[in-house]
Order: sequence, then C-alpha cells, then structure tokens
Amino acid sequence: MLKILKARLLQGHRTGSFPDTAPTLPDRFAGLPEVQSCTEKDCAACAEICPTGAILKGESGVVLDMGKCIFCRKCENACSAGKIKLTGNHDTASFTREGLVRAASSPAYEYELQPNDVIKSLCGTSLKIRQISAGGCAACELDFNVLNTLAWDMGRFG
Amino acid sequence: MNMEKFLILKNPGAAPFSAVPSLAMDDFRAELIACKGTAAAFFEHAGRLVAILSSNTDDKIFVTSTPVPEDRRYTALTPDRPMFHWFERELHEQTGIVPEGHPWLKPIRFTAEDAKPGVTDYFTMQGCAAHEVAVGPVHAGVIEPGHFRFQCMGEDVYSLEISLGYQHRGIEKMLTGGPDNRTLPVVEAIAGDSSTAYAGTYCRLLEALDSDCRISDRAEAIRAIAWELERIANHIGDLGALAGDVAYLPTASYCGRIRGDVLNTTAMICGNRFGRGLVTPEGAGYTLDDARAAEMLKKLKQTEKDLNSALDLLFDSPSVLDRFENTGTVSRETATDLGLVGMAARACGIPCDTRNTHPYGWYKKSAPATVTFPDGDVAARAAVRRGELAESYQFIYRLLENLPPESASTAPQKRMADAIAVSLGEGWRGMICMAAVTDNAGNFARFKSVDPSFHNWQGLAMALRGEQISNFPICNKSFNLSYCGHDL
Repeated sequence: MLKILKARLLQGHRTGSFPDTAPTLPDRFAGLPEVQSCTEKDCAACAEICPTGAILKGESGVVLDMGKCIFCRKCENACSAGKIKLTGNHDTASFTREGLVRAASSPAYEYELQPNDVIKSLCGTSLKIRQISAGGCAACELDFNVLNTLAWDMGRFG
Repeated sequence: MNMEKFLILKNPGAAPFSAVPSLAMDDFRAELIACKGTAAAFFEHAGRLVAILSSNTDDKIFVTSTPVPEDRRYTALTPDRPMFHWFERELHEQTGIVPEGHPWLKPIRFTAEDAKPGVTDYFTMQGCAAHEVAVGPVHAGVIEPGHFRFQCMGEDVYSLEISLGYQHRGIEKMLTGGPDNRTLPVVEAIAGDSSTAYAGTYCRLLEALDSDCRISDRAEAIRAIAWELERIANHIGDLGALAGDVAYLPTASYCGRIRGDVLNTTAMICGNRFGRGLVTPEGAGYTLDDARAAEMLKKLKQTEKDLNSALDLLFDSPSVLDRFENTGTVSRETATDLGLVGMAARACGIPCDTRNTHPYGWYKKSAPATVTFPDGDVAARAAVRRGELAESYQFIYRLLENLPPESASTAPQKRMADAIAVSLGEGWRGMICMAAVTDNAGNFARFKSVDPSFHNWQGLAMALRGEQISNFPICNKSFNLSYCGHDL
C-alpha cells in the first residue's frame, strides 16, 4: 500500500489543461496545411506527388481535401514556390464533409461549434465521439484510446 | 535438409527468380516437412508454388518452389507440419489451389466474391451444458474488429476459434505494379502501430534489389532508434493494458501516460507519434541534430524512471501475479509446432528474434539482447516485454550518446528485373516478412506481406483451451496481435 502511495507521489498530476491552454506540440508537428493562392499555371507538382490524390490543381488554384490528406509533407517539399505549408494547427475537424476541403480562398480555420441549435442546447456540455474501426491501420484506434489516459482525460468532458 | 533444393539468401536478399529451384511436388513437400526453418511466406507466382523459410539455425533465408499441379490440388503440408496451417488456408483463398487433407480449410480473410466475414462453419461442441459465446467483430472498446467463437462448459473454454478478415483492404493488390508514390504510405499503414518496422522491412527489400545502394551509418542509427522507440511505446501500452484488465489501476494509468511520452519522443524527430515518414528508402526522412538527440535522451531517461516505478508495482503485486501466472499457457512444443514468432514464442522459451538471428541495419553492429522466459503464460509474455523494455532503452541511449557523423546515403535507384527479393524485420510483435517478385521492368509483379500475427493468432486460440473465459481479455492482451496486419 505504501509503495503505491509513494509511486503516486512520484508520478504526479499529469492531466493537461486543454482546452484552457493549447497542448504543447513538437516543433516538427505536421498539422493543417495552409494553402496560398498559386499562380504557376503550368505546375501541378503538388497534385502529382500527393499519394492519396488529396490535391487538385485547377483553374481556381490548389484545392486540398483534408478527408484524404495524410500529412506526409510531400506537397510541401515538392512546391518550389512555397505555396503549401503544414502548420502546427492541430484543429482539423469539421461537422461537414465539405468543410474538410481547403483552398486559398477558404476562411481562416476556426474551431467549429455544433451547428444544430437543438442538439447544442440538449447536449452542449456532453462530448460524444463515435469511432468506426473498419479498414484502417489501427493507429487512430490507439491514439483515440490515449484520450482516455490521464494526460488527456477525455472523461472530463462528459 | 538438402541445401541444394533451396535458393539461399541473406537478409535482405534478392536473386533472379529463375534461380529458385523448381522441385517435383513430392520433393517440395518432403523438404518443407523436414525443414529446419519457420515458414515465412507461401504463395503462387508464375505457375509455381513458392515457399520461403527463415532458417532456425543460422541467418539465412531459404526459397524453393514447385510447379502448380495441373488440377490445382496437392497433398496438404499442415497435417505433418502445422506451421503451414494458416499459409495453406491463405493460398487456397487467394488462388483456389486445394491443399487436400488440410484439417481446417476455411477462409481467413473472406475475400471471395460471395464470402461474408465471419459467416462460415465453426467448430462446435454438443452437450446439454455446452454453450457457445461469440465475441465481436464489434468489440467493447475502440479496437479493431475480429470475431472470437468460444465453445464452453460453464466458465471453461474448450475451444476458441478466431475468424478475421474484417480489416481487409487489399494491400497486396495495391502494392502490385509499384513502387510508386503511394507505396511507402501504404506499407506504413499495413499495421499502424508498426509503421517504422514495416517501412524498414520494405526499404531493405528495395536495397536488396539495388546492389549499388548504401545507407549511411547515421541513417541506420536513426532507423534503429525509430524501431526501438516503437517497441518501447507498444510494450508500455501493453503492460498498462494488462494491468487494466486485472483492475490494477495505478500501473494502468501511469503506463497510459508514459507511453504517450515515448510516442511524443518519436514525434520530436518526425512530427508524428507513429514514426510515419521517418524510415524512408533514402535512409531517414528527418535529421537528428545533437541538441535534439540530447533532449530526447533526457526525456527518455525520465520516462524509464517513471516506467520502472509503475512496473515495480505491477510485478510485485501478488493479486496481479495470481492472475498472470499459469494463465493462457502455450507450451514450447505447441509454439514450435505452430511456428509462432516474436514475443509469443520468446515467452515459451524459444530464442527467435530477427534482430539477432537475421541481423540487418544497425543490428548487424549491435542489437538489444533476445529476452526469453520459459513458462508460456501471460506472466511470461508480460515479463518478456519488461525485459525488452530495459534492453531497448539501453540500446537507444548508447545510440543517442554516440551517433555516427552525418554522411550521405546512396538510396536504391533501380531494381533487379525478374527477381525475387525477401526481407525479414523484427516488428515489436515479431518477424515481418516481405517478399516481392519483380517483372522485366523491375516493378512488383507480386507482393507478399506476412505479419507476425499471421503466425501467432493460432497461438492465442491454443492459449484459451482449458482456460476460464474471464481470462480471455488478459490472454488476448498478452499477445496483442494485429488484425489489420493479418487481414491486409
């Protein structure tokens, strides 16, 4: 018993203060890519190198589908004009599929709140996430379970 | 074992496909039944049945083949050599070739046109007190889907049958025709908790196909650090999960956090916790400057200290040990017969560890020692993890403190045409085997990926025999096998 208490003192309080403070992310963290308007008409290096086809280069410029992006940085490395850069922004979720598509003209990323007022009023203080495990690589499942660990303690959010 | 009947390769190795001996079926069967090796891959290509073995006695890989019989039937190997069990089922499912006399010729991935995952005959028991328990594919937790069918009398499990395939994505088909810009990300996603081990195994396949390439010592060191960090993170997670499953919450909570700290150490090098983009054909995808290495060293030492505090509690607790010891026991004989690999085998006393038996990359210079425990129970599988954690930490410290100087690598640029290439790697679960046959342009005409779980799921099934069903969670977690790595 005493050993357990001693260990508890050693391990300390580790729960992060998110969302009151932003989480500390590594300096090389690969987050939301920022797309600037691209005027290189004959270049589609980003679209060609993207392994998942997340990037389309068309008349209106570069369009990036975050629903397909795997944050591999190949586009960032391929663009000689520096028009795509992965930022440190970890907020990439959207309530709509369309909301995952980013272009230079997309509004600056803002954290979305529940758009449905009824749901917001009934369940606004309770977080529910449904994870569908079907045909993935299991990494999402692992990091999802990390949310239950004490550093993140998802249970705090109802 | 007649060495002339095999093409002998190093790890990794490549040779013209025409150099693979083509034996008569009787000879092929006799050699495989008598072989002193572990089945590594088994597939049909260009009208031949190709068998790849990893040697149990030295660091070699053996490849042999036989022409596929006209009627596409042959006498199964499994009754005489059970380690081929899953391989022959896969062959039948992928090609329709019938291994006659196979004791349990059922789908493993349910990829046939009309197949529905999980819908098949199951071994059943009859009797008024006998009952059947079905678990999954949807599980009580955020984990991958898989189906477990127990035959029980009261609490006692007489048989467990495992039916998978829910995570089948068509990996081998996706990789055929490559390599292209999608190949490495797909390989990294075969089993997301083993991304760096898979990436490394694949990169070495490319290296075997281009004899002019040379990966620098610096890059090899970074790769080895990535692999051991991956191992450490997974082992910490598993020990925490085992603690959770016996309701020993202190260790469960601490390990949950500490594992995250280790993953964040990987992210210090490459920006993501699973090491994506860190191991590449060019060597390493990111540099590791001295300041970063020093910071990593400091963080890792702290995590090891915290970890030991958490693990001492677990392994000293009589109530925990009472749950772990003599639970889910797999005998050494069964493990050998089934061809179990990796940790599950080492926990039965079998000293198989590709880092030491078939060394590659930095492991040719030095590797963490092989850790074995003889008892084959949950306690042994937990103890192997604990032993490997200590070894891996020391290994990483030695590397971080003595990184070789920066130097350029010559990445693989071309690929031998009409060749067979084989690469073995030790993922944290055990031996990964990748084999590819190239076409006349050097592209992959056939790609075979074999996860350590492919060998080991049957080990879990055996562990449950005679066990209480309430011990299934710790048995399952003590193996912690990959569904997606198996299902491809």
